[in-house]
Amino acid sequence: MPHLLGHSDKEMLKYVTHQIFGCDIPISLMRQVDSPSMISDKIIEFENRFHVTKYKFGVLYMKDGQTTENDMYSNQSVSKEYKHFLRFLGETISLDGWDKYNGGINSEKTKAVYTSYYGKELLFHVATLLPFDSEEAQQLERKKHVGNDVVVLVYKEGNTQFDPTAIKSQFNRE
Amino acid sequence: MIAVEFLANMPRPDFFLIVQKEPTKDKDGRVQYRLSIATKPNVPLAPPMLLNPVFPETQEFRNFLFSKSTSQSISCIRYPTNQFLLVINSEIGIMGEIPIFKKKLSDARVDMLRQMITVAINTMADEKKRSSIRGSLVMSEVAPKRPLKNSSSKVDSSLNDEDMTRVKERRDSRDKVPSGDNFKEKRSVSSPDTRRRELTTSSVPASSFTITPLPPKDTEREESKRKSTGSDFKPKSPSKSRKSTVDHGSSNSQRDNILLHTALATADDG
Repeated sequence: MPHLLGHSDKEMLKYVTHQIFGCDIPISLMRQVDSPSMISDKIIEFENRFHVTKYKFGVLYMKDGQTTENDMYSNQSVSKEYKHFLRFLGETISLDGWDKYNGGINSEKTKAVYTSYYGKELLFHVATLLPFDSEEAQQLERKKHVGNDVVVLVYKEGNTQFDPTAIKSQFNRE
Repeated sequence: MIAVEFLANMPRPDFFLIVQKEPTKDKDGRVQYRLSIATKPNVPLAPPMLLNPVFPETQEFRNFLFSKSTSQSISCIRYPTNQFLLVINSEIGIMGEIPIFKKKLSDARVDMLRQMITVAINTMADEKKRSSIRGSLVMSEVAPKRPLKNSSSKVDSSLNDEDMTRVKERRDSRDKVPSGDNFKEKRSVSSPDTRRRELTTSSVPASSFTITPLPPKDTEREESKRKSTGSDFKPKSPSKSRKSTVDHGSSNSQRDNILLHTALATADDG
């Protein structure tokens, strides 16, 4: 027991920190707390650093009979139901003079879908709203954003089955 | 640095939420959607889980969509797929599965063992040289002190030489026992094919004997006995001592060979 070993506060602190954290923590890093509310504030501040508030997702439009990703990326004409679903997701915004989270889109002429959900900012890279290049088969301007999102929403029409291995990012060329 | 590179090269997207409009409508006349999930292999799933795949167009569906996608994106980033882990633990993941890697790695290990053993033998030889030099020095230092201790009646002016011969005799007695008839016969009889096994089996007693030194009390008794019957041992000693020194070196080299062979055999097995 520490009180048998000595009376110093440092030793007591060392003992307690070793019991809690399982390792020695230098006393120079410890601070004296003025008020008990300071602890909770500090803990909230600490935990907020790990809290992710900005998310970006991709939205793909898959028509009936489309199997390859190039077909999905090169869709231009959309149905009413798809537009209805986009309106259900959030409001379509133009990124010209957009102050909030833009999801890594630098060009200001494009549009995207934005919502806030319990204090989180969600931005959808909608493939059909991103710029279309008629000369490119791969549609790299769309693939650049949608292909690098971790989670992708696929709006499917028809009965053709969706194959996740067909979607490849620009790094995954195999 | 490696981890960052692999993170950048990670295949994305990993997780797909597939939304499909249902042909029928809800009781309240709302549009219904059917949700399904598709993932790439080894992607960790995150809550909330999809229990009822058909949702009407309500706030509940929105909440489910957003919470699922957010939690899934975090889990995909924090706990990357097994492909990522396989690359880092290449020896664990790949070596067991691909035979080419296994062979190459085993060859590399054998080469490494050979190098290590040669280095060890060289260092041992150097140490022996040093120790032999030290031993001679010590002998010369110790020798003049002895007559003071053993101030018995039999002390002569030629005590130094006698002591040396006795030490050599002791060496003889050490070398005689391990390099006895069994060991030498085995080596002579064995064919080159079966040589390795026999060496491995015979390596144990030889090494154990050389490592354990004789207890001091016994040697003193032997000395006392020899002193009593000293005249019988003297004529044999000079002729044998030269042989013994040669044998000592040869036995050590044999032991080293045995060590090498055993190490190689274990490497081949494992």
